[in-house]
Amino acid sequence: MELKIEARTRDLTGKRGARRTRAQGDVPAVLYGLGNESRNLAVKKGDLWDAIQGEAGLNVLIDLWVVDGKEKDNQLVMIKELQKHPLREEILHVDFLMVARDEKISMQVPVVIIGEEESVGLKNGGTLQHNLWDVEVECIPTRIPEGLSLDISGLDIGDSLRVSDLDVPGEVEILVGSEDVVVNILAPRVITEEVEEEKELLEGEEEIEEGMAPAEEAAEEGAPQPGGEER
Amino acid sequence: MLQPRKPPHRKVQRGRLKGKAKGGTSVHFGDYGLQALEPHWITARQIEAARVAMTRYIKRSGKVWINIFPYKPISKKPAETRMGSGKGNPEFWVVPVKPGKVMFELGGVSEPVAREAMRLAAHKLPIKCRFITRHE
Repeated sequence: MELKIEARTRDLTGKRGARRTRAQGDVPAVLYGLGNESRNLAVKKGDLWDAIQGEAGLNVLIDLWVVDGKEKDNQLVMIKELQKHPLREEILHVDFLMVARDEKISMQVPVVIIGEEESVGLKNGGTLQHNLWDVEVECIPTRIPEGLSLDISGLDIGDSLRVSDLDVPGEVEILVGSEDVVVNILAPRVITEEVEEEKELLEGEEEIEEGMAPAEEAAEEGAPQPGGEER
Repeated sequence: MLQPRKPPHRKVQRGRLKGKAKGGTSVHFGDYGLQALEPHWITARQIEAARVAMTRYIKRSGKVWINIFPYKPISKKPAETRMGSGKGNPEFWVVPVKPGKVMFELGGVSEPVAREAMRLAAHKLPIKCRFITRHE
């Protein structure tokens, strides 16, 4: 099921226009796809934020109603790209891609790990290493899975699970290699490594002390310090 | 400590640290990250100190990723030297970090452990940092 979002056409373009749109509490957006000309839009910040908070995340299917003066039309869209502020929880810009209900599209779907508590390898002190967090899949927009589950309960130290082990619904086609490793369990670091690390650290400390020595000696000898007066 | 194997230039100009980080602002490899909130040069020694603090706390579990590399040589004139006579000798290596950059990542540990490890690591750095998770 698709979410309904309302957008208005935007005349202000470029850096200045985008900033003005943001100052009004909207997010600058662009709509393109299916061979149509691109349109500059503005959507309400809150509506967009609510839309991406759902289970589908960024793969949410949106019924976008575009208001252009007195005209109003709707499009089935998906989020192609979302730009966020590096520090604040603020959406800076969004790209909407028009999609057709019966036409296949490709998108990234997250891998959902299940059975972490029962995993033999993790119980024995191993570390779970993710090699693929998302997998590129192809399907029709209405059949996009929220996530591809992967059961790691039987996984021991040194074992790995591949793309072919993912639980994929029938109508979804995987676009990455079936032999690509998704997760593996690493053995716990052995004690010798820790000893080496300690040794490295001690060496580092010695270096620091050595580096400090000339300055300390100079101070003891009563030599003038940089920036200070002569005694 | 980290430093380039083959530096392209022995001495470089200081440059300026303006704006926010353009890339590397989210967690890519692990589950948790340490994000810079201020611009600053981070030295190889500080990176190493932070890494040691983190790996010591998480002991044998987990994995640490370091997303920054000190590529910039910093020169210094010796103490009690008159001005002039050319640029000083390269002394240490730094990486200019802008606000938003995720400097360290951690995976394979629980959130409270990761949070404490990152807190210890942040104390070794000259800037304010914050703990972030993959889904933020």
